[in-house]
Amino acid sequence: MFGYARASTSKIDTVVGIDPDGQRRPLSPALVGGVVHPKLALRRVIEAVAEQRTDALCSDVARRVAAHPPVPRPLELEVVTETWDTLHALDPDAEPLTRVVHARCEVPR
Amino acid sequence: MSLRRSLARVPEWLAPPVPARRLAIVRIVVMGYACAWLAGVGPDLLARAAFAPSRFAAVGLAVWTGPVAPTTVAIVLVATALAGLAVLLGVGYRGLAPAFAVALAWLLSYRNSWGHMSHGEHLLVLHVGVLALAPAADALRPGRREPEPADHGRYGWPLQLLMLVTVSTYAIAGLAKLHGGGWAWLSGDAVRLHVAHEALRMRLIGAPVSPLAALLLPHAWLFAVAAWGTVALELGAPLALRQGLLRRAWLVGVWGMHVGIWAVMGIGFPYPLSGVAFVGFVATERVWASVASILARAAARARA
Repeated sequence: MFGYARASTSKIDTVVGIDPDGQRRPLSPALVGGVVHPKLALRRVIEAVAEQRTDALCSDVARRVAAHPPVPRPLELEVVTETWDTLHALDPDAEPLTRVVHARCEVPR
Repeated sequence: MSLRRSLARVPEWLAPPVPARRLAIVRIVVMGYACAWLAGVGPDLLARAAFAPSRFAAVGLAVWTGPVAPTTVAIVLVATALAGLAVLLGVGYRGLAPAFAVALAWLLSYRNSWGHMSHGEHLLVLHVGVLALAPAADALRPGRREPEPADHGRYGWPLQLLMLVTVSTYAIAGLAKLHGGGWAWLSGDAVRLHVAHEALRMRLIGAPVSPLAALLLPHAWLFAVAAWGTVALELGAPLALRQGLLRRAWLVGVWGMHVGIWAVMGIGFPYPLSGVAFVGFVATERVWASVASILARAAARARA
């Protein structure tokens, strides 16, 4: 485990929520993957991106978000692949170096 | 010391005479942990068993069966837990212990066959496998009337094997770091990047991130110290096979390493963190006697 060198950038597939003011924010493993375990949820997104099933994933996640209490509930979702400068990703104003949007969908009202 | 004299000591080193009680206590602790672990991950295992079979990527013993009906998993889980309780008590040990070991390995393989590997379970499965083949129920078994057997090598080899298995897993991990990461690992760069990457992944999926990660990441030298310490502990694991100060230092060091990984990366390996993974290194019958004596004194004081 962790017995290898890493690149200085991290490429991560995930699903983000977009608030009414346009702010992107993370959801939760249960909303993204339908599972509590974060690594299983990440795996679901990786598989969906690799198999080009991101529209279906986006709809699934939107359904789960819609069933969730609306505080605060995002308007839209994006399935994205983000590339970050790994060592500075936790800095307060850090932004991804690149963001590829695979799918975008609305959260049912 | 001559080579011939050293070789003559090998059998004694491999199977030192120890009390049956020491091995029995290890049985109770490890099998008890295995039962508690099964109870803890049972709901998660059943939830995963209900995933679509297309998500199944078999590992370990799950390769034999492939995906099975969730009901089958539930039945195996309950039967294994019951067998585990019997094995913990030492009842029907010779037949039930190997069955429990195989069933536990299958259940944990099955749980790990859905896209994420929980590395913390490997050592538990190996330890249960070793104990299942050992005469670990010759003492501390309900209904046993005859006196406990004398110290013997048949109670010593399983404990030596448990220790060998444990130190091997750490030594292999240390070698893998040098082979896979080389200087980047020892410089601390790889550790730092792993910590940052894990924290980022957790943040992006909306899972909790250890506040220590963001606090420590700007200090590169800390990660160089952690990297050298980790590799020294892992490659130095065979030193723990020698009794005495080196063993105690290694046990404290490796436990501290797991605590550090848990605190900074949020990755907890409960088996070593609980200390149960290292119980084979301890003269448990002495601990047992000390605890019994303390309890007896406390009871006598309460009566007085």
